Amino acid sequence: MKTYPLGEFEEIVLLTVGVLYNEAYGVAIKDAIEEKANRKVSVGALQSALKRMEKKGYLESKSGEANTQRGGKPKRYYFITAYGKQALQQSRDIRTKLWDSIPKLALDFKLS
Amino acid sequence: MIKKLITRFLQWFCNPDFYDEIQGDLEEIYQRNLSRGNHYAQRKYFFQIIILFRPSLMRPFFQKSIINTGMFRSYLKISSRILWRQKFYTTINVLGLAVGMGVCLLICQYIYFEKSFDRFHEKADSIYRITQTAIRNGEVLAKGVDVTYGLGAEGKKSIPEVKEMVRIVKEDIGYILINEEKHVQHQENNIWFADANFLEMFSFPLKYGDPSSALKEMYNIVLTETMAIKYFSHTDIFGEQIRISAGVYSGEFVVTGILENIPENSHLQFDFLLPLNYILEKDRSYKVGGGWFYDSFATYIRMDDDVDKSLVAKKFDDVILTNMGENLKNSNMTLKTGFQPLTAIHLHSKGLSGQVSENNGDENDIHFFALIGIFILIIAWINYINLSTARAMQRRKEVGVRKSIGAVKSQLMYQFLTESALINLLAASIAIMLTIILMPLLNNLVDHQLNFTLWQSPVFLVGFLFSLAFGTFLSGLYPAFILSGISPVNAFKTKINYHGKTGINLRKGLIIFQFMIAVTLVAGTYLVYQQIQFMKQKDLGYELNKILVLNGPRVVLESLKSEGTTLLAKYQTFKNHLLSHHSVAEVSASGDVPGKGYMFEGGIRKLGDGKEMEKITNATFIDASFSQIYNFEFLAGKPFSDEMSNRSGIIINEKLRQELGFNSPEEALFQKLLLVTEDTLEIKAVVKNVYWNSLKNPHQPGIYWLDHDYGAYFSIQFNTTNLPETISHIEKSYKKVFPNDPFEFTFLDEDFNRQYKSDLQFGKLFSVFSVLAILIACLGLFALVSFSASLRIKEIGIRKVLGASMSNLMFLLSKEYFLLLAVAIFLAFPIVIFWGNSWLENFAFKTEIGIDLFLIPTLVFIVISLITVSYKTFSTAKANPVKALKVEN
Repeated sequence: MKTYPLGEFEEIVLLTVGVLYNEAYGVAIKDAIEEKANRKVSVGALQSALKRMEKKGYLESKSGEANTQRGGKPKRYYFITAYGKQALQQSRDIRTKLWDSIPKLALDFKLS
Repeated sequence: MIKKLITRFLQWFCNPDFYDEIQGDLEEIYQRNLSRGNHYAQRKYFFQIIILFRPSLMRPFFQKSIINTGMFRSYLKISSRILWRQKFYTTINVLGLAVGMGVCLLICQYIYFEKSFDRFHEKADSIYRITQTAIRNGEVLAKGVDVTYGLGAEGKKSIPEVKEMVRIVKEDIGYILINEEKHVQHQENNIWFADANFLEMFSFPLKYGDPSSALKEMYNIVLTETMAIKYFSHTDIFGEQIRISAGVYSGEFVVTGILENIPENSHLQFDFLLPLNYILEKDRSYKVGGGWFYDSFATYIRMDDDVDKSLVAKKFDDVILTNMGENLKNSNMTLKTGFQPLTAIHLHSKGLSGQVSENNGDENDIHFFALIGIFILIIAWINYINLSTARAMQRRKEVGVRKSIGAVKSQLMYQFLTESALINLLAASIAIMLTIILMPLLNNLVDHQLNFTLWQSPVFLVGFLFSLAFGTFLSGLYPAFILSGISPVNAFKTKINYHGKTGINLRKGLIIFQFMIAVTLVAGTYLVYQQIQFMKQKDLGYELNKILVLNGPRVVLESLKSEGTTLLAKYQTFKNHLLSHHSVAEVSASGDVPGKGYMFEGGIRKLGDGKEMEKITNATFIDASFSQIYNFEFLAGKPFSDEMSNRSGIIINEKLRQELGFNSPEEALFQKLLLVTEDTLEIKAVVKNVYWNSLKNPHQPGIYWLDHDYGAYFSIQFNTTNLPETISHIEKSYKKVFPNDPFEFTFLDEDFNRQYKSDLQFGKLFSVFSVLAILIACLGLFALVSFSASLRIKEIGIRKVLGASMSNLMFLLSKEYFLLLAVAIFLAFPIVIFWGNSWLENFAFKTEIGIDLFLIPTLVFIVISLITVSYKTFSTAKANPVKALKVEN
């Protein structure tokens, strides 16, 4: 089986890009993660994850419109590629499989 | 502002493809954050960019540069792999170098500190201290910094080049300072009298008070923070009252200035400042002869840079001639004026006498330590050279392969230089850490509070980088040349001498050199300690450890009249009290005690002789029992008795007798002498020279002048097994007779041995350095021995099989090194003898260089190297020969 290397943070970023569909640019992704995953994200961490995944082929990007609020700098929008979608899918499958194979007792025991 | 700067930074490092997007995002967040305040937004912006500084987002820095970074990276990678693979040798190299460099850094810091003296004054570069040389018939009689009161005054008035002038005088008479409100009283000695502009010329920072007016009024006092806390327990004491009780110098003073503590790198170290006018008013003798009689004033002047100093000196000489010409002519003397730049005082005042001449360093010591630092560093570099040449043979195959596939010589050299650079850099960073950790230890040794401030000096930084580069080349160049020169054909032939003939002579030479230095250092340390022990244990004629020195009472002087009693009577009561206790053997009052110098220095001549026959002598007052406590050996005459009246006679020492030209002690007896103060003195006795000061200095001419009640100090000879009881008895007696005086005492041996403090410090530093030198040298030896043992594993296996014994094998493995050690020791001796003799020249009373000076270091060395060498040879020799022979290499 082909494996798709995908880190935990990368996965969250990738998912968020999916969630934001068509509106996924730096600040929006950062805000979304901070809101939904309830964790602080630095621009540095985010950008390096984005660039890495673009290099791996999970993401593609295109330049958007310039905006005075951004000091005249254009936004860059990110989209999930088919390859990225497969990576997400695989990660999800693995997790589901693992979830399913946990014996009920183990979880119960944990909860009690 | 910050935002702009940090954005520039981002623009510089960020990959241009990403820059617009990232900067845009940041800007958007920044705008949003502005609602929470400008500061907040900027801070966020700043940290975001710092976090953005990561390789994945950076522009491709190295790809466009002209240097062939690909090859460089390869050197780096291979070097680090090699170093990593040979952890043992790398560790030894790095550790040795790090310790060596660390020592060097510490020494540099120490030198930096010593050179920083007095540079903190704003006008440091234009202040000079006046020196004066007394010459008679072309012979220098004395050179010092104490000049007359008049010289400064007249110089300032009549020489236009002198912009400012400050005089300082010190009278060590033991002042009792009293804060009456808090009932705090102590005896102080470090009180200086200075001209009113002292605080303006020198930049001692005032915590409270105004530098221009602090010393203006007669009853002003300026003190340091520490003293403020000592007497008032806080520092904000401007305008408070403090009382001084010291005979004629007594008075009520107002605190007009509180100084921050005097920096350690100031040659002027005082606790209290009083106006110069005060002492002139109270002690009229300074004004004798219009202020041209007593030379007790250290005088500092300020001159512009472009002034011709020799011209000004000439003008001062003229001033002296006009005012003292007559007097000088009578004594057939000339006085030459000179100037010492303020910043040179600390290191260049050797041999200058003067009251304010403490806290001086010695330039020779500094050069000496610098030399040691360099030598230690060299020892560490030698380790590296030796190890890498020794292992060169192992790497010749690698070189062969590289050459076969096309490496040229220069590339191989780069490879080896990279290795040495890596080791040096690694060592340097550890050395810096070591320095920071060891700084407190150094402070402890030199008794100063140094900080690692070296980085502020650009000279040092350049020097540091330079020596790092130098070390890299020095330690890397030899292996680089030798190894890169091997021809590939030879490299693969296995039948080259197994010991690694290349560089074997160099290696031997270097080991000899290393051990020569180490042996010299050990012998030097031993000599320094021997000399200190010699001085401490020398029989001085009196029992240092059986005498307690008590500060004499001062406050009592003021109440004598009202009580209707005399000081002498008080002393007598005190003595009787003390002697009533069985443990007190004898009590004596005197103006000074051994180890604390003499009270007075001045000219003396036979009565009737002309002034040109005048000799310089020291003098102090003693009472009748003094000669008994200090065990004077009478050559002629008798000790003073209680019946003799005050100041009715003197005892002189042999030295003065000779200087004055009396042929025998008997001849000197009952002769009359004329002191410079116009006192006529009759010689009642001549004694053998008394050890009065540090044994560093020769005996000085001395006068012991009878005065029953000049008790600046009481010497109390005790004989006890219960010291606390004796002391409490002394305290009780003291408090009873002198209830208003503070009870403060010291032990004579402590006082006396304090004179050797700087020698002891020198010895301590020296011993630390020698230990480190040995450590580094032995580290290298250890590595070398283990290497050569590892090469001979098979040989040893075979020898063992054939029946060689353990001791045979160990001898075989280590004899070569002991031979080298022997040569090193042999070479070191002439150096030790030469250096030792020239060092001992500093001491008037010196230990002798005996055979033990050579035996003990040799013994130390043989033991240490035996341990170093035998550890490895033993394990090699003990190994099972079967295992050794099974190894394929």
